[in-house]
Amino acid sequence: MFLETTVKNDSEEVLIERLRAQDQKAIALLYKNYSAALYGVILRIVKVEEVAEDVLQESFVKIWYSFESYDAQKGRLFTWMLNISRNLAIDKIRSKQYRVSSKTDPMEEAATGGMVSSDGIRPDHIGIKEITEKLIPDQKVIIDMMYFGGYTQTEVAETLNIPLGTVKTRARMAIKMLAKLIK
Amino acid sequence: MNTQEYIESGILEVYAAGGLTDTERADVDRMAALHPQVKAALEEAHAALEAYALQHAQTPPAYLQDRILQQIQQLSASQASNHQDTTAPTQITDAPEAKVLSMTQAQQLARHSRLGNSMRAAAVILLLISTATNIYLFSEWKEAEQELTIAQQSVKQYAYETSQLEYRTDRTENFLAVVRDPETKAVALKGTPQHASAAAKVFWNQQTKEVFLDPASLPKAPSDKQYQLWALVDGKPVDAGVVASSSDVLLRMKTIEKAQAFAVTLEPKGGSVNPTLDAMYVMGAI
Repeated sequence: MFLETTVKNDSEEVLIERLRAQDQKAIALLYKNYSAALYGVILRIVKVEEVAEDVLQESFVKIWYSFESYDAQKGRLFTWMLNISRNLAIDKIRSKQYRVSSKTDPMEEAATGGMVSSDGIRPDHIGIKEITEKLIPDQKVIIDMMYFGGYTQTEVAETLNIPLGTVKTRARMAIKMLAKLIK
Repeated sequence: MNTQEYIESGILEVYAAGGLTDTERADVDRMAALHPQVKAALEEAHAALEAYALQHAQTPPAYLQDRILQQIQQLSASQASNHQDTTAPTQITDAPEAKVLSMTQAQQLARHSRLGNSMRAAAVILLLISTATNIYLFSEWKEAEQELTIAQQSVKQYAYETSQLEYRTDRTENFLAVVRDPETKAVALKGTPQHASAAAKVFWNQQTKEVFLDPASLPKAPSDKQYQLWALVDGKPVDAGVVASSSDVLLRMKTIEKAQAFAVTLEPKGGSVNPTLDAMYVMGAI
């Protein structure tokens, strides 16, 4: 799945060309390559499969129709699509019916995850699975709240009652670690 | 803050995780455009987040692919045929194509009516807003008009009061002028036995022969009657004028050349040629 979704640069360029030309086969290819990645993120955000399906559909329609606005200079195609899907999903949970249920989840994670101290953790000696599961819970929760919860850094700081600077530092530490993992 | 500090602050990672507001994001975009180091670090953060996102990848249900691709196909088909409609509106087509055309026209119509509906809704909202505004402005205007009327009324009231004061002042000045004139002779008229409480005063200028009557102490005359002043000249009553009803000011009466006494009688309205002697109220000799 990882190999499928991580499209090589040259093939991405070709795909972009075909999408620009409104080649409908290109959208099928796009779906084949990216739907699982986008759907996973959407589902993580909206938490309900039916809603996630709707959001994925909206995302692809939007990707297809606003493809003109995609600028390869500004970022990778996947980044752009991910943004569209995330924004649509977050819009969904910010609408009335989702607000109550979804907002509590990151808090639960914060409560349980926060118990683990980050002191004495040696990332080099821990496997990928372990890292995502328990390595940096107080850092991970910050990323999750923003990325899957739609929180802003200020909202994270307020909700977790920590300084804004700490939110940034923890976000950086978490992402540094993720960067190490994908190398 | 230098570039390195900026990168290490963690703001780029927060950006990649979607935790920035639009304004904050624009700031970072500016920094990234200025400093290649910042741009590189931001791309790294994005890549890491994408890797993280991919860990959550989950294949959607199989039927979703068809549903989504079909919707896109339909949408672009209607878009394309709409495009065709606009570029070749006069094109005469054979039956099957005509059918397609009519379908797209129906779609266009549907789209137009959707647009029309929202336009109508917008128009109704605008109308409501406009109406509400008009009602508000009208009530404001009414209020202002009322206030203006009140202001105008009080101006009138003040003007009236001022003129009244001026009138009284004039009257007092005239009275004083008459009374203070060295040529004026004051004649006190005393109540007759029948009307002992009545009294009046005549001021008679010996030089100009003008006669003024102060009727202030006469009882109120009945509505069908008037007081009349008489000058007694060599035993004969001479008419000196009637007193306007309910008059309490110093009245200019007829000029009298010669008199030994003055008297006031109550006469029918308009006065009499000869005084009704048993209706005499006051009298005073000079």
